[in-house]
Amino acid sequence: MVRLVLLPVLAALRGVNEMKKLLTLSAAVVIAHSANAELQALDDAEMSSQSGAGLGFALQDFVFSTDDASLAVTGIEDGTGNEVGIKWDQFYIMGEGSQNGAVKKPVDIGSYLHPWVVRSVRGSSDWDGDPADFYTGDAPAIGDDVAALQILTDVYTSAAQNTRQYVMDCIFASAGDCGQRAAIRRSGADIGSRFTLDFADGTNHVWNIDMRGVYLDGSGFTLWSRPDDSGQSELLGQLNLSLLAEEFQIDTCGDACTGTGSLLQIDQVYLGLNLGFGDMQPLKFSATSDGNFVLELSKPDPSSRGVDPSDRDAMLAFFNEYYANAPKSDIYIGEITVGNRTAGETVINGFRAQYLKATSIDL
Amino acid sequence: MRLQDVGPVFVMSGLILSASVCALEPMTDRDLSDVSGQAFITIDTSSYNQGSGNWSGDYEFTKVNLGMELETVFNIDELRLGRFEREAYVDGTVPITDDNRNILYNPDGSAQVYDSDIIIEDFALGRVDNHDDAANAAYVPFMARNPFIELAYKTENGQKRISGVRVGFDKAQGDLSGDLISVTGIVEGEIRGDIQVVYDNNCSGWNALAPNCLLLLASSDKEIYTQVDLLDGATGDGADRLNTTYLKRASWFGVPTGRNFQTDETGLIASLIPTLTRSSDCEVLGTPACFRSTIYQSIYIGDKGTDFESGSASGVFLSVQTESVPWEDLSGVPGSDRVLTDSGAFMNISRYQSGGETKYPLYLTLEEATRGTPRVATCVGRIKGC
Repeated sequence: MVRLVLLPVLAALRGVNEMKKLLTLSAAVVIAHSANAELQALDDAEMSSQSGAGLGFALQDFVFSTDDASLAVTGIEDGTGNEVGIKWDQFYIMGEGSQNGAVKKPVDIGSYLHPWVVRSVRGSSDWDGDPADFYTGDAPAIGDDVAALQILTDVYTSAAQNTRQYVMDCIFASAGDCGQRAAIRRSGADIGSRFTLDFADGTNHVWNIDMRGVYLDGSGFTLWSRPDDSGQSELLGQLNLSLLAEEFQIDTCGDACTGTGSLLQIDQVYLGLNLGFGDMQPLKFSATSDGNFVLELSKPDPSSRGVDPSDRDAMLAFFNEYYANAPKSDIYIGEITVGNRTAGETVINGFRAQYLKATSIDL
Repeated sequence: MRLQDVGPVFVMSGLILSASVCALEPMTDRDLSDVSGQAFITIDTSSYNQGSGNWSGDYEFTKVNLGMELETVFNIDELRLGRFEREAYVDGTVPITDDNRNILYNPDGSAQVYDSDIIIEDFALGRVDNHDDAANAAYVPFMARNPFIELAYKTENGQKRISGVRVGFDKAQGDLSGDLISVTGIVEGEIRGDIQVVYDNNCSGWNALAPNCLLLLASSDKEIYTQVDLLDGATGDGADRLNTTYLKRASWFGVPTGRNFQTDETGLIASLIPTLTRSSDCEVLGTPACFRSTIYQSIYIGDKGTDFESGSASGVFLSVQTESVPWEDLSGVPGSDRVLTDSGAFMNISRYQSGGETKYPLYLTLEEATRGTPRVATCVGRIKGC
């Protein structure tokens, strides 16, 4: 059963009359159930009359602002055990041109043609089939014997609208038509927030963060499960993030001053992260008995392909296939400036973790 | 029950979360009291105003510590930090040279410099043992504990601005590999070996009768050592002779001009070693003392062959600054206080304190210093490039 909890929460935040939002549901089954602000939750009976593998949704003319509301994060301490007060407020998601959230400009998050999607899909890889199809389809590198849950953002094939392609061609490289592409690109979202840290010694730090022109298309999170070594079902995942912010700003001056000389600005920030590669290298989540979490990007797993681990040639072929197909990650941080000072650009090109294990510990 | 006992808790004020999802039920205080959280994150603040010169003024720092143990084997095709224009011999920036240490010039007559403070190609942490036998290949991860991210602020005329950010670890151990094309920061090592090696390299034929060679022969059983740093390949000068705290965009490593080898031996011959082995223009006694940074393909951070608790290095970090920042020195070396950085990117792989002694992140024999250190494999089936 699905209940739409998003809208009531937002309505409480912004007020029904101001929101002017159109929330559209479309899916394989197309529940074109659009309504103006007064969306009703679907009950079990309504949902049971629908069939289909997924649900697409789009938030059009979307404006989100916490206005005067604030969120207090407690329980975080400094190294000597004193509580650090963290206040999170001024959170907004608006359309590009909102002037750091001051002008309530609406934004479209997905659309009829390019919705965000929550769906259940069968793994796309028939390991006994044509090798040319191993890494294609809706859930590449996941065996077709399991189903996976996917949450996907909007997808574009146009070279101008597909953010990852735009970044690769026009930020990491200099394709000839970048000016034209930039001119016809849709506008992005403006997202911002303010964090205030209060320390026991009276020190106070403010991070006022604003991102202009944010794009998230082509991102996705996939979850599925398989038995682990002991036969217990184990949650596996894969994260593909493609986030571009045309401009990123942090102001630490606080309310006392608004001088631009203290504003940290970055022109274009891109995070293209690919963590996990289907059954060959899933991302695993677990917890230890003492309450700590474990996040593991496992070593490339030959058993996922039925490869005999003692066969040198087969193992070499397996690793070569992994290296050739598992997507790498790229990060770009444009020139960082504060006033007339610069720290230059940062480029991390072609990052791939063959193994990563992070276990939290008590500080 | 104290609120802190459940770890980070989010408390909404002003929001009404009116809808619920399926049968999710709020936890009661009694339920919550059964849950114990871990102090996974701590945030520290500090200030510093004891600096002078570029580092004078009021600085504040916020350090976010993550309680975490990390193991990883990863590769990055290319890493570039601090890409912006610099000019040779300004603020410690050194020029590009050819393999014969000749400066390369632009058409306008200016000396060429690399376009980024740090350029590392085929960068990797961790290694793969038995890489050429895919059935028995084994990942040997780079280990790190308690990563942190720290922001630096400078306050001037009542305005507080971010002046830098750094990421690092409390402790780290393992292989760091890559083609070190351009390096900005502090990379320290130690060369150690028998003086016989220097004699063999320089004292063949009639040279053996030269006074220096006779002295070397007399002391050939003695072990000598010295510190090696980034330097200007064109002149052999280190940071001190360029009146800076560290070199920017360096591509050579070795014994800077004016530095000599030392020995722990005593006696007349041993006492002559420092004078005899003073480095000048990239030579010590006719032996090359400057080497391309790219010949050091893999560096082992920490003590090889010892466990993480006793063999890991501290104080390793990577940072970017928009202006001068005096970062706290976390190496634990007695007398260390601040790591003084300028605008741009900075890599700190310097001496650290472990088990009551000061250790270097890079130890080289005299032969290794000349030959370089081979790259450990970071892929299965190939050395690098995966």
